[in-house]
Amino acid sequence: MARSSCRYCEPRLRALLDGELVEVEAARVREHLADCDACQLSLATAAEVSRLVGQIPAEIEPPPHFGANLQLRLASVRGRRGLIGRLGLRSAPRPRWSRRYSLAGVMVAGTVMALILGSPPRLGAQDLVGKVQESWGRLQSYSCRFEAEGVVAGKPRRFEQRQWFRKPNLFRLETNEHYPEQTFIQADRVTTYIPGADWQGKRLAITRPRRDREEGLPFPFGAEWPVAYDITMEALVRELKSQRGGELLGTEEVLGKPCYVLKFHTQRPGSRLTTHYRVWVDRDSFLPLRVKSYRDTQFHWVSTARDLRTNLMLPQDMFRFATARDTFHVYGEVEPFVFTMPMDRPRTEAFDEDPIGSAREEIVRRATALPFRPLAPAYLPAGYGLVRVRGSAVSGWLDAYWLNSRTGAVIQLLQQDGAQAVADEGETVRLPDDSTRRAVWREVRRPVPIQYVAWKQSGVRVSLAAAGVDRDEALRIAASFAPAVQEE
Amino acid sequence: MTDEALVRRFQCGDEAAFDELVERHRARIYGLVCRLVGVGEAEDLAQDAFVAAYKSLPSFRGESAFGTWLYRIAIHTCSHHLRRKRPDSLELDEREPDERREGDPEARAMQRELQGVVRRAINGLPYKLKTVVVLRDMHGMSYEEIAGAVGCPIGTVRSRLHYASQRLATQLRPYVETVEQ
Repeated sequence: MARSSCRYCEPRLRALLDGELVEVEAARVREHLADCDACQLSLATAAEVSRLVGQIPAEIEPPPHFGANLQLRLASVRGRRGLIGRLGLRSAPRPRWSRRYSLAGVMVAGTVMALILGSPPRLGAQDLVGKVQESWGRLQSYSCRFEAEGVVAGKPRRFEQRQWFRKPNLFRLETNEHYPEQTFIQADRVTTYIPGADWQGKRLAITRPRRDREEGLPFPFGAEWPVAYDITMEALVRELKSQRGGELLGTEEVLGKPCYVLKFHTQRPGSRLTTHYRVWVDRDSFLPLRVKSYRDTQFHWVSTARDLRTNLMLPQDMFRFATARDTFHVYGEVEPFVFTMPMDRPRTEAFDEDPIGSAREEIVRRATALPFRPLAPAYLPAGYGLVRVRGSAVSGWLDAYWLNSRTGAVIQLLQQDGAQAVADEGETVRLPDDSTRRAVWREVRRPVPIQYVAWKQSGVRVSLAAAGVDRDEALRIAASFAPAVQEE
Repeated sequence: MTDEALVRRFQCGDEAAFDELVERHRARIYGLVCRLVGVGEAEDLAQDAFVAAYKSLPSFRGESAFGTWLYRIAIHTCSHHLRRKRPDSLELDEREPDERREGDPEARAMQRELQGVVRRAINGLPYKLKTVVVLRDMHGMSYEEIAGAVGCPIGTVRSRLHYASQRLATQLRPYVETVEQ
């Protein structure tokens, strides 16, 4: 046998090392190696390289959430496969004569399926919602910076919030949505501090009771939902669970984090407008990091949670408002915009000197635009000045606010078209001056004393929330209402 | 129970059998994908591979071992991903999620450093060379199995391994010589 050259042997050294040469080849290479130092060194080097590479572990344990995430994706495939299986769409090859009926068969099966099930199962999306719910259940606290950007009523808007939340019901947010403000939400109250406000030379803090629909706590979205205007995690999960059209689109990164993308849509009761949503759910924490809502070119939003940190130690103190100096503290059923948003006609001295007459004047001014004939009070306790009157012709309501500038108590009046009004819960009472009129009365003592009275009069639903007065006083105000504009 | 038995059970409608197959092979497949595309995208691609396997398993006829078949899917998934991705945007993650705990701290540190050098050298190989060297030296597959997983003749596996060894030897020369002394 002729001696082999380096050129023949070198490409075979690695295979020799691996025992992957046929015997004839291996014998030739071994024979060459016996006399060739260069090839011996090459073989030793190849062996050492192989050894070094072999020291790197072949198996790597995937991240802890790997299994759960894979199950979600498989669930989605299983859902589709289950549907196909039930429809009998996957079967053994059929004789040619049957193929001509296949399309008709699929159509019939599809129709039957649609009738039975309504829509195909979307197990992936629902499984993901279950994970979101679980994750929210485990969460004790969070902090984040929430950015919102979009178009509202055709106008571009962008703002930012800082949020802190601690279970079961503590929430703090700092926003510049309209102007800088801080809101502290506790179990029974909501306090808003507006450092930039100038109410008679003072900054403003407002405390009102926490409302029923504020049971759940806001999560960083700013999206509008059919039931609650403020999005909560509970509302999100409820909405997603009820979505038959929910669909898991795949994965995408949000702020460098891989997320599941969930698509669904909602329709507000009584509205023909559909809002389309996409939610990006963090694959590690299963918490939503971004929500996009699109109704039309006039209303669309993207809200993103940045720097979301969970299960932090957040002291109770940071959720409690500590009265700042030079701050006028207001309380009652009142929102900050009452004091802060510009008025179409500036306040005059008459607002304080004649709060009843100036209120009637403001109400009358708006009466022609309203779909009902508004009422006005003829009695108010001493010390209350008119803050402002607002009205909406489109939505059909009118409200007015009076403030006691000594105590900070606010009386709120809300009027709506009686035909559309829904009765409040509470005790039915008779007004002092009119035994035939029935009203709903409710008293709240904490966190601030408020008398609630609601009744129907002249086709108008009237609600009064009077802070700083007793029951008799509240009923006396209620009894004094009469149409602001006399019938001709 | 063997992989093949689990495959048969899955094909007869036992969904749990697939979960067992995932459990058995996930660390190996995840490890392979980490080496081929980097840790950053390994999770997605390893899941893609299992989802693809789940979809195709009903028609799997057992012409190769299940493990080899699964490797083929994972390699195809990675190749497809890399083809779609612009080469200059490919970043191989140097993070090593698996650290061995045994040994004294100094030896462990040296071992880690050396493994880092070797990993970087492997990462620097062209994809086709990298694949065969990873399958052979880390996963201990035979040339025939590699050929089956990669989808090329055995001769091609042999020549790719030869070139890969040569390139790695050049890259790792200082370390190889140190080891020899």
